[in-house]
Amino acid sequence: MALDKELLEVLACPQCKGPLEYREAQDQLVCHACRLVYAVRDNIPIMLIEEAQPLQTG
Amino acid sequence: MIDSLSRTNSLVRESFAPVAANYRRSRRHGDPVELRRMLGLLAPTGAERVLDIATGGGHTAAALAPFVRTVVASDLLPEMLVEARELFRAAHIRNARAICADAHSLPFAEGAFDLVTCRCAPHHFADPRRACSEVVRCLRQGGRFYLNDCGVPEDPAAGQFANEVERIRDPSHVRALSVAEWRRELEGAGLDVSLAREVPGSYSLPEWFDQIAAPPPTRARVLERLAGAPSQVRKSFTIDLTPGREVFSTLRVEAVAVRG
Repeated sequence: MALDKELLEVLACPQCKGPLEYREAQDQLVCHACRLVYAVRDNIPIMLIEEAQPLQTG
Repeated sequence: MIDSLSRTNSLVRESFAPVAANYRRSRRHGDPVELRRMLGLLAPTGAERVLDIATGGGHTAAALAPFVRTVVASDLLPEMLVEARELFRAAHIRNARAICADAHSLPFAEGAFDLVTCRCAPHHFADPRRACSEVVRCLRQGGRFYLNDCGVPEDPAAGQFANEVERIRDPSHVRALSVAEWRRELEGAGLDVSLAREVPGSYSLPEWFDQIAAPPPTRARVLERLAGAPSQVRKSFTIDLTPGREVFSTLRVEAVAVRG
């Protein structure tokens, strides 16, 4: 199930507080400024800096 | 401070992940009298976007949800959020969402919420001032913060005693604050405090121990510490150690603060 629009409007990167890109197909939220990827597991965004993965280039 | 934050967060995970379901079922966390009092104080209009920090079993979020537009229920532990969603499902609540987040680094845009709530959790925060600053950032101007947590008396010796007892039971307990201490934290973060008061609080010890699955040696150490409470400290609490119905009565802090 996709995250709803109202939730996506208020979500921000916990590190820089900037906007996130929602990649629905991959269940991910991406902060391009911090180059971090936050997972969405079982429809729960895991917005913890220490659990974010580095954004792969290319 | 980063080390202290991650150490505290690790202790919180160790203490609560295995017993998350107990917090959905907890009578203390779901106390209808306390939740009705919160609703009376906040008097939501139905239009509010609410953030409930450290939602645990989801009781605060569930109490507010029928009376507001949306509730975001956040918690450090996904295990707690699974329980909170179960509570929402059972109560037919459809306007609450679960987000895994650390209260010290909230993943929300500035001014995103009209109301922020936090019950029964700030005593686990390594840095309450930083958590309050995050609340301020996430509130719109004029938005309100409702806080309710276990508290301690203003007397420093009594406060230290209560925190020591709490830490024996739960190593992830950092520090419960007095009303005056909370007022300083809230005002220091830039909030205008409209209410800050003590309300009665009481632990029925068998239930209090069972909730966190405290092992027998831990229970024995707590009872021993309570039995040995110095007389000048004892007068701040009700301590009844009658076997089978042990009670430790202390106090809670309740506050409402506004982002000016």
